[in-house]
Amino acid sequence: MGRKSTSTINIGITLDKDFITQYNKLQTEYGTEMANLNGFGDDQLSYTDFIDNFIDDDTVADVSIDGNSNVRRKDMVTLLTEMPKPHRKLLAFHKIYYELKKKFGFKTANAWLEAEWTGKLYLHDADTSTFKHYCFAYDLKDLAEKGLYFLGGSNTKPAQHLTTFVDFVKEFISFASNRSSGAVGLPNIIPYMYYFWRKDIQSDYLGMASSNNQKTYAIQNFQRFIYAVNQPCVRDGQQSAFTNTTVFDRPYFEALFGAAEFPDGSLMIDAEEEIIEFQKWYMETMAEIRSENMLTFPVSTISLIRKDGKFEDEEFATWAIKHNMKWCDSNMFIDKNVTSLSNCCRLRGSIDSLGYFNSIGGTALKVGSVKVCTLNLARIALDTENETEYLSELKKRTLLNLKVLDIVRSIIKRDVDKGLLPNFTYNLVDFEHLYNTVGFTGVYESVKAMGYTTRDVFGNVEYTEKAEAFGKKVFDTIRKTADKFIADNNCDYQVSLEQSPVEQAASKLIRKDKLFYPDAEIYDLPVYGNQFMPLGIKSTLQERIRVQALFDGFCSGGSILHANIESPFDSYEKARMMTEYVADQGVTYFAWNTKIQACKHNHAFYGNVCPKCGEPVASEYTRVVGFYTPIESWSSDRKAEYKLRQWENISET
Amino acid sequence: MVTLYTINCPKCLILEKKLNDKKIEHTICTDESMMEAKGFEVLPMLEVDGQIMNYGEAVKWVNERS
Repeated sequence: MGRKSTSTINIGITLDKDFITQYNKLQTEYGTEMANLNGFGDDQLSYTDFIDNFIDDDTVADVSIDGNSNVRRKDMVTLLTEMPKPHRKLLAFHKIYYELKKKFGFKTANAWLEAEWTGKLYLHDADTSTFKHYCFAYDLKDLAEKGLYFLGGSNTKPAQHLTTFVDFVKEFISFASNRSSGAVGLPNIIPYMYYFWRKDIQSDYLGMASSNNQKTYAIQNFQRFIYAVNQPCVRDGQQSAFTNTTVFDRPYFEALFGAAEFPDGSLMIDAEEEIIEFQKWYMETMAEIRSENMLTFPVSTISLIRKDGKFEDEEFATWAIKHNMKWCDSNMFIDKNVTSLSNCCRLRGSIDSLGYFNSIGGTALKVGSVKVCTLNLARIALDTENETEYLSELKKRTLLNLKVLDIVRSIIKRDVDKGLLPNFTYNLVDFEHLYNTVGFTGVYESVKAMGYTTRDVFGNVEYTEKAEAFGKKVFDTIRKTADKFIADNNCDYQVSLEQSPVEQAASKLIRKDKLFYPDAEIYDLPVYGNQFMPLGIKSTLQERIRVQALFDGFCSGGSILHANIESPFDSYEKARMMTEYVADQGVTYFAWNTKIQACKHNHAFYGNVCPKCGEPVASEYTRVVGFYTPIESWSSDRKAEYKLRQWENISET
Repeated sequence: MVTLYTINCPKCLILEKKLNDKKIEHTICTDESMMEAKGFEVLPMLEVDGQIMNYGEAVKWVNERS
């Protein structure tokens, strides 16, 4: 009865006339399903219908127009956060369209909106795209030296104790993550926690100087930090903060922090050995917590130098590989020299990049991204007939992508000028250290469409030599187009290339493509792959590693190999051998990814029965795109994709 | 014989200060061609009686001098 007695109230939003014309044209031309995939369906833009759908749907990721598996709680706060997203996205797109039209012309603005609408491009975190930047790896120096100065008011004193510093870090993360749409990286949190811990001991705080509980004091504060970032209310009141931390071997530590001073003027380098040990305590605490409570954050990376078949810091590398055996919960960043993470110590050469960067973690200090706009490479394959056409179209779409990112950057700069983003005003983030990021997805689908895949006698997919040459041409085209754009437009920023995680985008893009090409033969999976060899495609681990190594170098660090293993390593020798193998093949950033069971109390374990409480398996965790989350919180398409994932049985390796 | 290879970067200056604080006699090399010829990719480097040390090793060596 309710519906029949209702009517519609017209709420006016004043927008650019050309935008409205193009928006209406796209709505009419491409229909309801496409509009829904864009979050611009009538049901989504209508608050009352959105509320009804929200209540009826079981998984937030399925009803949100831009959901992710980190939003697990369906409650009033989630509703209030999700409800205005379609409208925010509309306003953001209008602003981008308007500014694109001003700078690059009417045709470019129309071309972009159509490309985005129809799935040729995908602007991530679209509803906040003109309001907040994406992600950043923060330097906590100012927080340690000045406290919460960026909050204003009376928050002006620096922390004096470890407990206070951890509280400050929590406030910092809340502040930073609510003013960005992506990850909050904390590469130097451990050295600073060490500093305050040492200070408390040296000053005999709470009798610490003579206490037997000095290590326990450190562990308690690691626990406080880890539990805090996992509370599902830090970002937007509805999800935990996407945080990442990194531990470094000695060469990396020296390169990154060799000249750093603590607030008391002492040098980090003089405490190197103690901090290396402190890092291990931190990592061991995180592993211990998983047994009690299978938490998602922080995403952890271990950075190691390996040159000429040898780890430079053998002691730390041995510890790291052993440590990671338990939960396979750290990403491994293994490179030949320190310069990818640290620019300051290079002897020669211009600094042509801001440093290693990706949105998953393990970045250099002070580097991040304004925003990511992903090229749907699979769609280019569908829209073109041959390699020449593909590369020509790729160039055009890359150029459009670069223009959009350029505009988004300029809009956020103006937001800063208007005083709306104090994280920039207070220099926690700065544009000098932010890339514009061109993302990509659908490499496998493109290669398959070109006919450059084959199968071995066991049915495993392999990339042919033509695939290698084609992939190189694809990345060269993107890079050269970006370099030319930067030169032609005198850009004061750099462009990074990233294999986008595309947690939800992979699903939306394939659905859009199916509306245009329902019978195409590239839809092997329910979502497009975010790996060069998607996890659901039957292939050997060796081939996945080989393919990753082929293309890794083109991505300025913005790619990660997920090597799925059925169960954790059963011996150190095997873990070591396989870790070395992946690194020596030329893969810089990778993760062993396994399946971790959890009981109803969320204790993590392997097997059928929880060893802690005797309860059976209640949920299973694995990396959705970059971090461990329970599969039950995944969107329906991701759940379908999970069922197809291939797992290497390493006990037979 | 102690030689500090430096480009006066922050770490170079810290190592130089440490050498001076400990009154360790040393010569300074800023010849980048020579450093390249020695195969250095990152700096600073310290050479002690023919033994090449990277920054971390050099700091530990200096800190251990009385």
